Amino acid sequence: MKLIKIPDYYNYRIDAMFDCYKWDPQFEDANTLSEYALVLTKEEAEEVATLTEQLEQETEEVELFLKNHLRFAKQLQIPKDLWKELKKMRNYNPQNHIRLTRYDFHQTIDNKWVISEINSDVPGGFAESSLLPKLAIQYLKKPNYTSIDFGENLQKVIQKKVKPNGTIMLAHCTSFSDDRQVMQYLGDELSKKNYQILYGSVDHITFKNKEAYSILDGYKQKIDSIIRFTPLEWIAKFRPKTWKGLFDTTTPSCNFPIAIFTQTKRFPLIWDTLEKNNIKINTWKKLLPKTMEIKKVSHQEKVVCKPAWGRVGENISIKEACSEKEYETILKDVKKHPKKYIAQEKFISKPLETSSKQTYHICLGSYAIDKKHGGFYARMSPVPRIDSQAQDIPVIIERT
Amino acid sequence: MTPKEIYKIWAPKNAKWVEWVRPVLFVGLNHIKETPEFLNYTVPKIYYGASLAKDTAIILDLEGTCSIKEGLALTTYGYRPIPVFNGTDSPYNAEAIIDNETMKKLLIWSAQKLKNVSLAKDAPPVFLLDKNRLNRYRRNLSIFDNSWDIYHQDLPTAHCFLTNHITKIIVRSNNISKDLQKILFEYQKEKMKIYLTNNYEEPVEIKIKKPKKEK
Repeated sequence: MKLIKIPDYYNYRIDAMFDCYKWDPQFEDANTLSEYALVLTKEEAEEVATLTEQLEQETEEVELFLKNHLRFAKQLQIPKDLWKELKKMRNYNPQNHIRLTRYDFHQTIDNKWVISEINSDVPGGFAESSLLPKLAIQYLKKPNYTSIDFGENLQKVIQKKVKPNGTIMLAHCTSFSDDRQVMQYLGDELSKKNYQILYGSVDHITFKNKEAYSILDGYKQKIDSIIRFTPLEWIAKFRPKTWKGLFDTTTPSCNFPIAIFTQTKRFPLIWDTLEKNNIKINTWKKLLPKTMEIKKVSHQEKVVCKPAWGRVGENISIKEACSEKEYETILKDVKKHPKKYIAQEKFISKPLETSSKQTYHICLGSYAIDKKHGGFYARMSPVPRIDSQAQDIPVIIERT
Repeated sequence: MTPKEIYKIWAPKNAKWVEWVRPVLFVGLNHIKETPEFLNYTVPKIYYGASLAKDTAIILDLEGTCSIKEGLALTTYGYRPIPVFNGTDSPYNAEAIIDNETMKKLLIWSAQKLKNVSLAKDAPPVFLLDKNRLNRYRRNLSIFDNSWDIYHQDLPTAHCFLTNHITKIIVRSNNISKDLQKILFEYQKEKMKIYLTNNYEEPVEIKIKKPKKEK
């Protein structure tokens, strides 16, 4: 992996906003669009793609097992309101829905790959992993650079599972423009393929006989697919009127709520049980650092604490990546609510150096769409924690 | 002018503070729905001009179109308007809570004016907000909710202001909105001074109360 500087950054950033749906280019004082592109060798890209497919194969097995053996999922501590609905998923068949996940890979100082988490429920970064690399290649003008178009791969799967000219509800938090940018990209692309796209929230969906219908003003009609970008645990918290229908709908969904089992970072805590039941999780075990309950931690400095339902790196206790105050606040909360966190053995990320000798840690997100590798989404940070202040960086593959 | 060209007028290369210009409304400038609203293009008179100085940033928390026009008026005092509008467009036929369409028209109209204004590269910023963002009421569930909040991540930190020798913030509004209160409280904690004006009266220094924790 290497970092290559993109020329004419001012215009690149504006093109990213207007042509690549990058509507959130600033977070406080931090510019969230990198001046660099991440270049992978073909071998690196293939290696991560293979690992992603192996992980996803195991993830599906876990999900299919747990939906029928809910008692083994108790240790996951899924919020009560969600837990009550899980038994409705018994008839879930992955063939009828679209399964989309993203695994976050990191390279360690001994040149090994590890994963820090799976974005199982609502992975984002759609346009950044589809259009942004193409834009960067235009600016870099190197004929041996190529990229994977994640959006194109996702659309191919949607086209297989959703009837032609059908209506797709892109369900998201409509008050958040950073959610809308993800949905707008996908919506614009699917419109070109003659789907009718509805932008709404989960409370614009109702269910009759397990089929989804839109109640959005001006668009009261049957829906042929739901693509959801609102996390399940948020939905359970806000409790829109008909959200429970999501758990047994026959309308093709991306993602179906089956994703909840692996979305929680407590998932590794049930690995022993899964193995006793002949569920293979070898790739997971190889790539995810050892994870334990907070109460089992003997050396605080050797682990990081992560919130079980955390997102975008929030409240992760990496000492060298937080201010002293933030670190103390996280540890105080961990002590107060140990069940809401897990502890994970620390790994040492290998930073990449730029031509101007700055170093950045990389998180290489790798998508799986219906068990096939779908593309890459990367972010970088000067500190070894990839959070809201991290920068999006297009992923390019160098042809040999 | 294309949306990109309009954006570049609002966020010119090498100017300070323009990183915070939110592109959300600008990307939709090609798709403006016809609205029955009468658009008033009168640029208002500024009555608090005497209180303005290079160490002062302004936040206009007014109904969106008024915010844009007052932002334009403040260019005569050397301020650079920074639109921070974050509301998304509704599906074409759906009723939405917030009207972005009139704001879009004014962003285009103001860009024509702004093009001819010469501002210093380090001009102090005036951040433009739409007070209507906080209208949350939906007559029924089918209405598209494009209301929004301003968050700490949408504005510079106190550290950034202070590093750039900005020590005061004037909020131009009738009151302090709940979402803005959280941000201003953080500024105040870092010893920045916060003022409030309704335009007609001198800005008065205010003490921002600690916001209540949300459940």
